[in-house]
Amino acid sequence: MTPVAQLVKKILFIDLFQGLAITIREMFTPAVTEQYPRQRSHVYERFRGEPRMGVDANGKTLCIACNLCAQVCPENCITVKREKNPETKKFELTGYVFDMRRCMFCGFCEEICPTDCIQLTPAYELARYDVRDFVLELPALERGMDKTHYRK
Amino acid sequence: MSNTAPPAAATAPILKEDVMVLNMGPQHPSTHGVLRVILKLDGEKIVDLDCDIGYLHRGIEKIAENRSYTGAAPYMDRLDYIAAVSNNLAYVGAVEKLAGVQVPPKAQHVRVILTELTRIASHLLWLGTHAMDIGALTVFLYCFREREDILNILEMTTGARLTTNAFRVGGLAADIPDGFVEKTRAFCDLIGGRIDEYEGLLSANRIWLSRTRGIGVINAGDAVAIGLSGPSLRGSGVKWDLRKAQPYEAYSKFEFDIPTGANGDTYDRYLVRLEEMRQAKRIILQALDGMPEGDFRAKVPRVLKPPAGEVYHSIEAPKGELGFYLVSDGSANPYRVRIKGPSFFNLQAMRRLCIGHFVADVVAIIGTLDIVLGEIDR
Repeated sequence: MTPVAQLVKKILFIDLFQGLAITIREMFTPAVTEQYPRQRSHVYERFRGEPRMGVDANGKTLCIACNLCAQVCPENCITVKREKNPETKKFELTGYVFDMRRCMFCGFCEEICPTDCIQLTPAYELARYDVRDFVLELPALERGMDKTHYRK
Repeated sequence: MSNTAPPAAATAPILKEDVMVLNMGPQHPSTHGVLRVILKLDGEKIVDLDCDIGYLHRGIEKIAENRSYTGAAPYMDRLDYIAAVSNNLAYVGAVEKLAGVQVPPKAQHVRVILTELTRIASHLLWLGTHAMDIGALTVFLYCFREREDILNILEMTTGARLTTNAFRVGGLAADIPDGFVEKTRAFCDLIGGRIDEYEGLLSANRIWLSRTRGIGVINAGDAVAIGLSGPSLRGSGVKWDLRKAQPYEAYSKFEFDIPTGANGDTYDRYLVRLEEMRQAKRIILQALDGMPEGDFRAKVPRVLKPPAGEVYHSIEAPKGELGFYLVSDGSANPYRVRIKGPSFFNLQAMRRLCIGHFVADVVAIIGTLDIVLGEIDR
């Protein structure tokens, strides 16, 4: 490019108008933002969110108290309370505590669970007013966390 | 009395002594985290500079010593949280090297695809914030729009957008989901035109040129001496890329170029990163085409006890060489985990790049080094 042509380009703000043309073109493309509370974002199946524990058709827990999830958890947020049944020589579940304050949603517990009992579900709205609501016992894990209701 | 010399203070130039010390950060929006830069100023000019780091220290190296080899992996997401998949790959690769685990070819291909997607995501975030620091807000919005597509692919495949925990020792956490290949291809079709668009907005823009050309110049010799790596090194014209120099995973199968700059200034590093995004797209398409069938995970014992020894494994992360040095004493926990992060070494160049420039250029230079404080402080 000759120096004269360069100067003309500079005086006519060609470089700035090139960018402006792109911006104007983009103005006619549809918006990509989500209006969150009214519009829910699409969450994929594998998303690791709220922990839940599964029950069978009779409403009995699927957990076999094998303690693998508690062992694999890097943050030690799972406590499995269990007792050995003297007749069957098998462990029976007496309680299960999931401390979500420490959970970092790595998904190791659901990966190792032999009965697919504990799962991290795609539910992602986990904000609570009280920190004690994050220590989940077995009923809360089976039912799901209580939803927070916001006053208008 | 008249022939005795006056005291030194009286002859020294008064104006030169008046060096102002200015704290930039740790809560400055352009420091991309919590970095405190102590500037010594002569007017607007930088005379000297010191970086104060450590505000984000969590002791990840120490935490890893108290976890099992597999249990420490999710913590590595929290190093360079913009490119979590790369951290996963480097750590898992180091453990595999230590334990002698062979990864199935399909897992290798998916690993390459996910890491290259992360490279694009990391560079997009860099470009957006870097341009915003310099004053081009539009690019930021466009970059985040494309980054969203990558995060969706990551969420679909690994289950999380940021802290992905994507890989396991021996392969992947799960097989690729339905629609992964189509979605990745659709993204690759899209991104080429988008990168041209960013270039149209910035590359010829006179404001962009005057803010980046000749700013933060470092020559090849100095860059190597300081220990720069990644695009910051290649911007100075050094053709060094671990994907070519010491191929890991399946990188030796793919064809791609290593872009380099000529002048070693901020503008060259910008061009190098843009070209890297295009090359990453090329690699992804090749990996998708040649995707082998088979297992996604090798058989690995549940409690991993590698033999006693030490190993160093490094990969080309989006920001440079990311290495893990592991020492095993034969137990289930690593004896020592040492992280060699690229941002920490790239930050060392700050002083040399900034001296002589103005305060406003510090913002551009922090941006061009592409640092992440999560990885510097660990």
